[in-house]
Amino acid sequence: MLIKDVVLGEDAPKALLLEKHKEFLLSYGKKSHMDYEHKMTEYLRMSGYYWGLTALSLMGDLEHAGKEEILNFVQECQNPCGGISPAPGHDPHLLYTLSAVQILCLYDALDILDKEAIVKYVSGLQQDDGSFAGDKWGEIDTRFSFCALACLSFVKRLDAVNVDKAVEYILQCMNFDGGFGCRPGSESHAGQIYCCLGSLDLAKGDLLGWWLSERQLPSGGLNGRPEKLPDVCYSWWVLASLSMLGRLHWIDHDLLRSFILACQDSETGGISDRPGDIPDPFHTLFGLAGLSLFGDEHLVPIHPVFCLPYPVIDRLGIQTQSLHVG
Amino acid sequence: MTEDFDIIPRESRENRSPVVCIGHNVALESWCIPYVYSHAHHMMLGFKKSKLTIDEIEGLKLWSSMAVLLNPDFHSAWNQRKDLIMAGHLSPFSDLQISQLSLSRKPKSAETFSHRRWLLTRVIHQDCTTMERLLRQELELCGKYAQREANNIHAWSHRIWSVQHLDPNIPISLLCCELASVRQWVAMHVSDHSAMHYMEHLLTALQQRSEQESHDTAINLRQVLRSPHGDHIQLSSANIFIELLVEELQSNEELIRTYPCHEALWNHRRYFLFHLLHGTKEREPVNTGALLKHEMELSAGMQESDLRHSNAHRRWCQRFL
Repeated sequence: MLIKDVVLGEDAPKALLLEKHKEFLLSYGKKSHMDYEHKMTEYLRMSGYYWGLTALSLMGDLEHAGKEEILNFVQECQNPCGGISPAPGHDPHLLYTLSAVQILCLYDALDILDKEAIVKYVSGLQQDDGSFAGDKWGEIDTRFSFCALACLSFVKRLDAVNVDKAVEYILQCMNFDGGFGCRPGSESHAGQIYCCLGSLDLAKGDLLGWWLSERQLPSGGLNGRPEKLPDVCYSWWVLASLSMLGRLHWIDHDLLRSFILACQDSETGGISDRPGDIPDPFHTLFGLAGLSLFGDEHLVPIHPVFCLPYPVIDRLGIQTQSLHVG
Repeated sequence: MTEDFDIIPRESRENRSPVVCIGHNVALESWCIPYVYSHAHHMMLGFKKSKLTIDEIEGLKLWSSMAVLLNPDFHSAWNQRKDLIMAGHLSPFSDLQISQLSLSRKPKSAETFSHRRWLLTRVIHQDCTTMERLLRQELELCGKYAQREANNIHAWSHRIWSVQHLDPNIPISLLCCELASVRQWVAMHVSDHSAMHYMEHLLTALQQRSEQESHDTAINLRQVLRSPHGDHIQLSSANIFIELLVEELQSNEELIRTYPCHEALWNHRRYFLFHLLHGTKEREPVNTGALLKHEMELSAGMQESDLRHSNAHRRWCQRFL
């Protein structure tokens, strides 16, 4: 049968290459700042750090990443408006504000930023209909609702926005198939579903769980939409959503594990989107995070909403409501 | 007007211009990109001040356009252009052209589509003729870039936004025209889930219109039916809409039989089923039993050619319809 999928080669890795991944991530940031490629990806540097550091933290190896340098970098990226940029000189955005806050949570260092300024920045982006703009230019997306609510949860200031309105807006983005899109009327997409579920405490569990578990292909990998190729990052968006719905067992664990393991680069370390592609910190984190959700013994357990290790969330004393699903 | 921009892979062997122009298209040779981009990057981050000289403004215009063409994800460079527009140094209409050039190289660039939405929101209060022209321009542009990159969720998502925001009183004739066009598209792109979602969006919009009974609505809906016949003249617009759903369900079945193993087609089918059974208010009663029976037969008949999806479909129907 013809299905858009990949084939796992005989020689694909079958064990988790933890030491290689540590090496890969620790050397990833060491490229020269004058490098042209380094400049090309600077627009998402803060998220890059979050992916790499959280992946290291899941492997219990955060202390080898230069803590002081990173904290200085984060501090340098906060703007007078309170928002945080991906790198110095770039404009602030909710996406990078969340990444920065998550990094500080890893290091238990939220105090180095002006928290009230963050609260002011985030709450200022909420619109009358409950949605959130990503920055002052006004693009609306349910991903930004998630960024805003997660940021405020970390600094324990959810009271600064209208949470009921935010939930109301997200519910408007639900489709007939139970999934969610970026705005009302937009197509269901696993990444958006993760963001919407993470923000909600109510969902049509079975219907949506169905759509999500259909993302698994015969190779074991998961895709984000029907008829797309599998990609390791959906191991996170899909699994975390299913985990929130209490339906993690709807995915074939062993099959997905062998897919993620096959996406490891056995020479350089790191995990890529599909077997044989070039690895990067983004896919390395989400591959490890997926394995961690399934309780891999070598990894620290990960929180499905905040995408940070459980001990970090426990240390912060943050409680999430469990979903009441039908 | 320049239509397409791209980068041509080429090593530098001699001291010559990296610019290549062919017809209405322009390209840069790859050897110059690290130098050009590094300078553009420097210019973007180096000018964060309020008072700029005329020369600096001209420099910013040029280098921000280079920055976004070479790296459409560089959102601060797009923002720099927004600032120039707000200050009156750039026209939003000319920036629609730069963003179109950026899409010609990266048809899936979410940042570029987002910048376009900002530009369009700036000019949204223009006169009706301009808005209608802009709406048609966006629809055409989305079609063009959906063609260049398969399953282009950003192009289809932008098309939905355009229909929702560019004309609050969008004529039903235009919605029907879009429906006819995406219907053809789906028949030729049977795995494009995003296009099918766009069609679903149009149908939902048409359903809302069909509930506000009017002569114009009924005429337009009748015209978009695949095989209109005399009896339809008697029907209310809400019931013509049901006819439309039934027709699409049939056409979807033909596609499923002709092109087995396309999950997107099966998902799309569930939209029609869901709306026939749950989503319509005032209507002729739909025979639920007969409809479900048909789905079971279709699934059973497709077992050999498409086991995976037909099984899943049968279970979905049993559980959710």
